[in-house]
Amino acid sequence: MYCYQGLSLEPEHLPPPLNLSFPLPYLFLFFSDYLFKLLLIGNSGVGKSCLLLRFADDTYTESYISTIGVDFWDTAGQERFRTITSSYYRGAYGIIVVYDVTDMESFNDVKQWFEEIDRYASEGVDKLLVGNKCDLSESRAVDYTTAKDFADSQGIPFLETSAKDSTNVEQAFLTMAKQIKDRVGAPNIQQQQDNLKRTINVSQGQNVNNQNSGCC
Amino acid sequence: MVLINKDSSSNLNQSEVVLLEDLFIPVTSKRYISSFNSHQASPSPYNYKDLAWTLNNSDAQTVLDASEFLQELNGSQRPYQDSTATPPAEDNHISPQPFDLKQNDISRIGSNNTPISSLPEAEYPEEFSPDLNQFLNEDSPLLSTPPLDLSLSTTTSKPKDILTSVIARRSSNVYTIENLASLFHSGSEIQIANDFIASAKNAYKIIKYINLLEKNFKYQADMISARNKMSRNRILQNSQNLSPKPLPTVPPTSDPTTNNGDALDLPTKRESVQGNTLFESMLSKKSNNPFANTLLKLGLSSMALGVMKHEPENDSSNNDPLNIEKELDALNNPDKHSGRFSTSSSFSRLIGPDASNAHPSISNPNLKLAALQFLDNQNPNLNSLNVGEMRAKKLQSLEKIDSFGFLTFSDDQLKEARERNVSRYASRNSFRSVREDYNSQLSTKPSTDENSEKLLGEWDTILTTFSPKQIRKSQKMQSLAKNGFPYLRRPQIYWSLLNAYDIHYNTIKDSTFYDEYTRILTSSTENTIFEVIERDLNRSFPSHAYFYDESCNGQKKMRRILRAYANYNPNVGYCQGMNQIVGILLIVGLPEVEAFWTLVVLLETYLLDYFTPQLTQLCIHGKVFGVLLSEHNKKLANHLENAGVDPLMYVTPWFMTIFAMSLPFDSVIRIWDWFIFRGPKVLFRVALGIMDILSPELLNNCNTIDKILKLLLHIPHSTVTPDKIFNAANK
Repeated sequence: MYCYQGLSLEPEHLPPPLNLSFPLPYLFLFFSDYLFKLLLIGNSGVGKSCLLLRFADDTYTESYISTIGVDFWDTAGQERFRTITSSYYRGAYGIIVVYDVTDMESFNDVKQWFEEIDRYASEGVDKLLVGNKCDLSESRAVDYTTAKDFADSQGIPFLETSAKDSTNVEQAFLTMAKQIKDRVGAPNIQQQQDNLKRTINVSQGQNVNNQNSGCC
Repeated sequence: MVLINKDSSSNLNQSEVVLLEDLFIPVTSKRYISSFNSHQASPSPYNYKDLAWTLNNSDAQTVLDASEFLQELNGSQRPYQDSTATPPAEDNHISPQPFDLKQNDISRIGSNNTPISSLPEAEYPEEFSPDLNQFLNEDSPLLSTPPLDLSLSTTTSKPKDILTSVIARRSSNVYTIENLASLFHSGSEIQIANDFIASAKNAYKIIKYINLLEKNFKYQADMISARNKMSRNRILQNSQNLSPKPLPTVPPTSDPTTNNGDALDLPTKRESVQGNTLFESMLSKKSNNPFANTLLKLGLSSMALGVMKHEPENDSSNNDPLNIEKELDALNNPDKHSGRFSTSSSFSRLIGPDASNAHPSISNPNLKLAALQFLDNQNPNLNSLNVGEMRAKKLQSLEKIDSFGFLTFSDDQLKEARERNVSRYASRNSFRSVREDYNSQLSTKPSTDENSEKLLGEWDTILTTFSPKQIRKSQKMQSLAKNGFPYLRRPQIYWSLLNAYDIHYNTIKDSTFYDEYTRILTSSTENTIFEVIERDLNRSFPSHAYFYDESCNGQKKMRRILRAYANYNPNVGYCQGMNQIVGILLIVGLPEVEAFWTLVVLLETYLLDYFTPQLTQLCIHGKVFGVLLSEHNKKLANHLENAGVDPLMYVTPWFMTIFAMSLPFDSVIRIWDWFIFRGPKVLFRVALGIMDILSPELLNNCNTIDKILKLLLHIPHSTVTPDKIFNAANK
């Protein structure tokens, strides 16, 4: 997932027209000069891929293929894949933990997912809690307040989204991006340009490690 | 699976839709053959229940084209046909294990059911099986060899003597003797036996014939029924005409699974009722053929059906005694009516002209019951055909379906979707891009070449003649496997090559595949893993007509298979990726029960420990692939390593689904063919081939982990067509 810092959406920065035949659930978000890697984790079937698809493509599908392993920062939800997905945590700048508001178990497992983050991710990584499928109000199992209280206790921003009717999806990713931007800090223009060049040549992890003191 | 019959018309809208699942019948002849060729210390009579549900799956119209079958028998000399003259195999003819299975590996699985306690015993003693390569060298093994030489110097004239000699010659095979004995000695059947014998007038002919029948029959029936594509339309029509009705002669099913109407639909022995109805009507119409009756008694009910089916078509006057007399007359004088009685004439060609003297007046009221009992527990209430048909028609009105069963879209639909910025269709599944990327190259229907009768016939012969081990050894077969198996034989080939029947032989014991499967399936109905399965059902092959939505049979079958496996092997339970494997097995055409047992074989041999909670074998294979890649393409391996890409990041979806998620489907199916043939090596070779293909792009244009993974996880389908992959992988 690419997030360029800032919000200067210029035509040449816009993503190429999407080839419908080849949908990619990754995100082209051209803010400015930075590439941020976001990782989506959460139980199987909570809608991680759909969130990504909604944000990247502004589309929704009832029947997406289940993710095996890691599909470009979108991780497989099943527990036994954690050995594989955990290697992705380290390169991520922000991690979005997704649960399903109609599935209490997925919310109960959120704690475990945060533990995974503490174990594998870089220290100080930005986190966001997202309760997906909030359009299914009749089958809701997790109250907003319950989740909100939990998120507050952890000091983590929280949003309820619906990939289906696109409620809050953009806000979720923008919140994440803003968080990262605030943390990393806004470099001056010259630095931005340097960094842009460096993103081409250098792997992204090194790029931000330079910005983050004592991180990783 | 829903397919469009493309034979009738090039216009898809006008063509008939039938359920392909009803046309595919499993291969159950393996154990049959092995029981012939190997001397079994503890003879286990062939359980006709196995056969019964198999036959149930078939529809009567396609059960057997008897004349075709008999012609084949008549005109062909099978390599194994001399096996009757050869003494039974000795105990030391135990062939090596077909898979690299170690006892340790098996014990590691530790399931409740201890899936494979010991490997199957001897299958094909060498002397019975001619050299496969030699066999393949013959241009047309089915036609070029001389017909049967049935002369026997010690021919006796008395049926009882014949019977004695029959039994003597077959003393090694207990179950056959039992069957023969019951056939010939149990009161009312004596007449049948006598008629049969009298019609053949040669004991050796009978032996030969029964041998051939027993060895070939089930397999041939399956083959022919699957092959008989043209009759699909007839099936559909017939099943519509014949309203499904309960079968009064069948006792209420004792199957506990059919009674509780809980959320989990239980597998039905037959996928639809139309075969049953047809079968019944067939039996009630035509049970006066002694040959058919004899076949029924031998358990060869679908053969019998085939015989009956090919009797004269003037069924409406069937009850007219005069007409029967006409028929009898015709039977007795085939020359007069040679055009009309194809079956009789081909039968007489097989066992000699004297067969026309067969007395056709045997009618045994118990035969119908007996035959129906062969069909085991039936479920007359199920009429999935209509559901499937409606579904198929609905689907057809929505979208079109390609030869693999995937939904395809017209250019207009795509354009419209693009304009509305709706990628709903497109994002269903990346298989979509098969169409767009190389539409012209996609074989929308199997080429006539690969489905030619000769090729299919050779495959049938090979599968019934040679062991999986022998087949794997053959260089020619290897190249054949790389070229892809014929579309119509794929399920049989998978089933045979994986040796599923023999592997499960000891597990199943006295039960049947179906019974054991339902037992496993119903052994636990509550499991937390079931929810995980449930979540993935909608996300497996959503663009395939068979898995399109919840009402599709494919999803129901996948649910049951995955649940059954979770019960079967609780250590593994369910792991994402297994859904794709089951999906492929079902798409390929394996019936549900076979698909389950094939899955078991796959996960305990080729993909052993792939789906355990630690993903043990996958991680090992990831490391192995890393080593292989650095040996194969050092530069690329270094490039990936510098970018921080671990092989496990991209081989996970490749290996866990055997590329089902990553490549266009025609590549996938070719790789699966090769994989079934060769085993896990194929994974590495194909993966290395893909890396070779993508190497320039990766080295030149992908410097970051993001770009590398973007390419490796979403390979443009035009770069990985079957030809390109196989060229690269075979370097």
